[in-house]
Order: sequence, then structure tokens, then C-alpha cells
Amino acid sequence: MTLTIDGLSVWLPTRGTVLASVSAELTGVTLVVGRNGRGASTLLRALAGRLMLGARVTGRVDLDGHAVLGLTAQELAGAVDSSQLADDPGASRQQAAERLERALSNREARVLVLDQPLADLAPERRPAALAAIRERAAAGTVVVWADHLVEEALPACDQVLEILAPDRIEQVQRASWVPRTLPAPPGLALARAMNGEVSADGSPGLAGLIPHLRDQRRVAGDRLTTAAPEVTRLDRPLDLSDGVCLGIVSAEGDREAEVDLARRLVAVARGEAFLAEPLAVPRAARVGALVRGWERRHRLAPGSVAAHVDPLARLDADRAVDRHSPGERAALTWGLALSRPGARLLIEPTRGMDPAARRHVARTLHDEPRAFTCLVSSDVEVLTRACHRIVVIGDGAIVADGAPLTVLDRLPHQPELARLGARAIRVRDLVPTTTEVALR
Amino acid sequence: MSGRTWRRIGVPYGRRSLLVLAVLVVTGLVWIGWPIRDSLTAQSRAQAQEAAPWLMTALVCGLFALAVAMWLDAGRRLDALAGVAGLILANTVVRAVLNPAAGGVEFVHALPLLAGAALGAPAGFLVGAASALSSTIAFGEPASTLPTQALIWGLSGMLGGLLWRMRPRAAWLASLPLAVGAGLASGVLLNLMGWGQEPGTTLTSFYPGLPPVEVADRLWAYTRETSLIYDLTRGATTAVVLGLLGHPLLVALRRSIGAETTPSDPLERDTVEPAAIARREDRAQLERLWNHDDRQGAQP
Repeated sequence: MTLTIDGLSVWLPTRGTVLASVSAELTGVTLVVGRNGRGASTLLRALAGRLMLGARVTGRVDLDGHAVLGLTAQELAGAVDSSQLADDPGASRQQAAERLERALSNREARVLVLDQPLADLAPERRPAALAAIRERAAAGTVVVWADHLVEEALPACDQVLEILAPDRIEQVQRASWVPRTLPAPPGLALARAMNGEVSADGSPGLAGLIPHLRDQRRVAGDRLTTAAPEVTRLDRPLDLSDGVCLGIVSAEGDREAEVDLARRLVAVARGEAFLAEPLAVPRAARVGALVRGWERRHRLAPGSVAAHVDPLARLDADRAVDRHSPGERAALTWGLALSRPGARLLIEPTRGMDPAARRHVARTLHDEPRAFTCLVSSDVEVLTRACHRIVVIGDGAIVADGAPLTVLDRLPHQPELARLGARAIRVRDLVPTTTEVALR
Repeated sequence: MSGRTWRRIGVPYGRRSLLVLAVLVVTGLVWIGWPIRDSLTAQSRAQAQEAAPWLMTALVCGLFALAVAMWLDAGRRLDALAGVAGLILANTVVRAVLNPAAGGVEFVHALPLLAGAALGAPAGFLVGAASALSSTIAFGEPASTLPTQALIWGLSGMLGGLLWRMRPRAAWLASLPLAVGAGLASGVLLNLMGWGQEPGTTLTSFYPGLPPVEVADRLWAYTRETSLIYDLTRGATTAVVLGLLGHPLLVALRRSIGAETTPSDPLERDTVEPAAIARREDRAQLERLWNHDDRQGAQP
């Protein structure tokens, strides 16, 4: 089974040409990656007949000799399963998991299209999802799969399709993939640094490596306040310090408990009597107007939000929020949340962000602490790199509380290097600086 | 990309819907304009009443064909017609709830005109004609004049299609005088409906056998005498409603089908010379080789 893309161009209203005359032959499991706004989601939607209204397409997409470009999702239903792409902004983790399960169990579809399926999945359920994807590929289904959690997705794919520019894509076998626009995932970077002694799939032998923890010990900021058990509903009080990024993880994978505790802690840090609300960005608002309104409301200098957004994505001030890609929207939300004065609440800030942006977020939270920040994220790489302190909760009690490295064993899902057997989070903790610089 | 044809997804506007609309409009105008075109054979009231069910059936079939053509033009995307369906429903409710029917103050002509300006002439016609039918059947007394009345509502909505290519603010401003003009024109056509069926002997009444220009003159004189003030009031009411709500609604409706005006139209980009593309490809290859070698060299 082959899905052939020949000279596909896609134009979106107010965004212009997102993909220009790209061609590829897809078989097995193809992982589509690229920077935010480069068109990974657009490519998937074009293949699935789910482009936004007003879009224009040209070119050919053939599934075993039958032209499928321009058909609607309903018309493609028998051949292409794209049910996982259905717009459902209010979906919970459980609903997202059920939707993915339904898509993966549709044995009739010859093509399976998945957009960020791991992002909404509880981390401990990801290995099962990867196994199910491999199983579908073994049965002959073409899987086209976009994911920014490259380190988790890479072992399960056959080939990688990296979108470099609207008219330039690069399609290579997984083993020979050298990321061009993205940072290499930790496992791959380590494997290259050690001259291929470690495969990206993981191999024993890393446990013997002794990390060079070259980070200077950070002195925590002043103690802001203490969150009492009556407020947090935990078994003991939690000290909150200024300038600390605090991660909250539920040992049982209970997302609601994580979010609830984060909202309580941020309310305490802000000295407010009401639970802090996660940021919801109005989709129809123009970006420029929204940012100006936000800066006025919080008495920020003009350009405060842009300073946080610009390193991650290029946004158009005259375009509405929902006319940007999911990654660009995530960058906007990040910029708004981070520029806000006082304690900050970040719920899944990197959902939809590309690996380069995810690293930038982690680095910013870790290296430029300006206020108390509470982070809830199923992106375990970002969580462990960004946080100075992680609190693991379970059954209304604090199971573990400390620096990321000290609580690694208690996390329900570990970062890639820890999964590979190393007691480190970053590659630079394991390899000499010169190599790290060469690899970025 | 040169020479490629772009397929547009989700905009209920295109060759098919314009063709069906043209058939509907020409047939409709020939029917309504019968007393002017050939006053001798114009239908009497009894004949018109007899023909009404057939006319109704033809109009419903025509509207259905128009909806199907719009659906096909939108790349068979049903969600592209959600705006049209919503406007038909909204206009039906407006007629039921906001209908003072005093001195020509009517609010029901604003939405069809807006539909035409935001979603194209076929959508304007469909919203006007379908909401006239649905509101009369749901809340009024269907009379033998209903099909012609629905046709006139549709024509008035279709006029909005003149503004389809304009930018939102210009389209909104131009819709204000257009609303007054549409009110006047629909008033003349509505008059023609009853006036042509009742011959009389005064200088402003219909008289079979007169040449078309004379009939049109008499119709205009009749309109000036009887309904001009009401028609202008109706047009002005529509203009006021559009002035108050037109711009945000127009923008929202265009957004709903992805028909915002945009500077980067792909059709303009299609004129790239093949030689320029070849040069660019060479450049891309050089760049690729350079970066690739560089990266390889940097590896330990």
C-alpha cells in the first residue's frame, strides 16, 4: 500500500501558501515533523479531506492509483481514517484516548492519519499506543503521523518526513535521519555523540555513565508563602518560593488532581481567594488586538508579549488567532501567560509546540526565573528540564518532593535518557562540552 | 506551480451555482415581467391562482437545485452551507418576531442582502427566497402570490452579490445605498405582481394591448402614486439595520467560509517563470549540499 503525493500545494485563507508543490511516497509509518507553522497539520488535513473552509489545493494524491485529493472526510471514510483529527476542543484526556483507540481499531482503513496523538494521551499509556500503531503498519496500513514529541514517536516510525520550507520537504529512513530544522531528540543526540554505541531505541550500558552535573546549584528565591493543607487538600504544607518553577505530577496519572492543585497553589502565591484560571485565548480575535489589550490590562510595556513569542513562532498581528497553526497558537498562549505579572499557571504550555520551541520553553522557565510558576505538563522532557522542583502527589498525599533528578524514580513516565538507563536528563550532562557544542 | 488549477474548498460559490442562479433569475424575471413584455396575453388573477401551485413546485425545485449546486461548488462540504442555513432560520425568526408591518418598516430584507454580500449572489438568493417561503408557511397565510413574492425576496438578496468582491468595509458602506435601491426595485416588482392582473381604465392602471414602454411608464406612475414612500421607507429601514449590524456580521459570515480578503492570492503567484523556478531549485540544491556537508563535517 502506497500513498503518493505529487506536487501538492495548499493555500489557506489569510495564511497564504503553506505547502508549495511537495511530493512524497508514503508507506509504513511516516512521522511528519517540522517547526511550528510549517504545515505538518495542514499536510495531514489535506490528505484526510479536512482542510478548513476557504482553503485551496492543487496537485495529486493517489492511494493505490485512485485520486483522493479534494474528497471530503466522509467520502474518504472507507479508505482513510482521520477520526482522530476531528475538532473537539473540549475533549478530556479520556475522550482523546478513546478517540485514538477507535481510530487504531478501524481495521478497514488503508490509511491512518494521526495528528499529535501522544500529546493528549497520559504518558504511561503512550507505549501501548506506539505498539498499536506498529501493529497497524504490520497489517499493511499506511500511517501518516505528525508529532512534536519526536523522542517518543521516533522509535515507532519507519521514515521521517521533515518539512523544511513550504516547497522543501525531506523524506528519509528513520536510521539515517539527521534533523535539519529541529534539535535532535536526546536519545539520538547521545547515540551520535557516542559514535553510535547507543541506538535510539535504547540499549543497556548507559547506567554506567556518570553524569557531569555542571549546573551551578541554584539558590531558591525568597519564600513567598506556605500553602496550608486546608487549601491544598494534601497531607502537609507546601512552601512556595519566588522564582521557582514547580512541577506537579500525579503518580496515578490523574490530570484533574494535577490541575486542581496547580490552580490552588497559584491562587495562594497570588494571595487570591479564588482558584487561578488557566488561560483561554479567544479564537476569533486578531492577534495584534489581543496582545495590545493584554499589555494594557496588565500594564506591560509594548512588545512584552512579542518578546516571548518571537523566539518560538512568527505570528501575524492582523490575522485571527484560529488562522494560525496549533503550534503558533501555543506560542501565543505561552507569550501571554509568561508576560503576566505575578505567579504563573502553565497547563500543558508546550502542547502543539515543535521540539525547538519546547526546549526554548524549558530553558526559559529554568534559567530565567522571575516569578513563582506552577507547571502541569505531560511533556516529561520539558517538565524535568524546566522545573527546579517537582511535587509528586498520589491519594491526597505528597509522594515525593524535590529536584527533578531526585524524584525521577517516582515519575509515572520518565524522560528519554532515564528510560535508556542514564541517570541524567540532558545529553550535555553525559558528554564532553565540545561534542555537545558540535551537536547543539 | 505554473499552469495548475486551484481547487477551492468550502466556498459555496462557483460556476455551477451561478449557472443555476442564472436559470432561476431569467425564468423568474420572464414570469414576473410578463405584463410588460406582452400585455395582451398577461394572466388574469384567476389564471395566476391556478398556476400558483405549479409555480411553487418549480421554485422549490429550483431552490433545491441551487442548494445542491452550492454544495458541489463548496467541494461537497456540508459545513460550508451552515451559514446559509443559519441565515434562513434567523430571517424566519426575524419575520415572526420583528414585524411591525407599519408604513413599510420591515427588517426582513437586511439578512438576504448581507448573505449576498458575504457569501455570494447564490447564497443571497437562496436566503431571500427560502426565508420568504419558510416564514410564510410557518407564521403566515400562504397565498397564490407567495412564489412571486419569494422570487422577489430572492432577487433583492441576490443584489448583495454585487458587493461580493469588495473588501468588508467598502462592501458594508456600498450596501447602504444598495439597500435603498433594492427596496425601491422590489417595490416596483411587487406592484407588478398584482397590478398586472387587474386591468383598469385610469391613466395609471394596467391596460392589455399597450406596448412595453407604455406599460412600464404606467407601472412607474402607479408606484409613485401608491407605494413609493413605503418602498423607500422599507429600503431605508434595511439600510439602517445594515448600518448598525452589517459590518460585524459581514466579517463574521465571510470568516465562516474562509472568504476573507487576503493579499496573498495564489492565483497571482501562478505567473512565476519556469526559468526562475529552475534557478531556485539549483540554489536549493547548492544550499542542501553545503549544509549537509557542513553538518557531516561537524560530527565527531
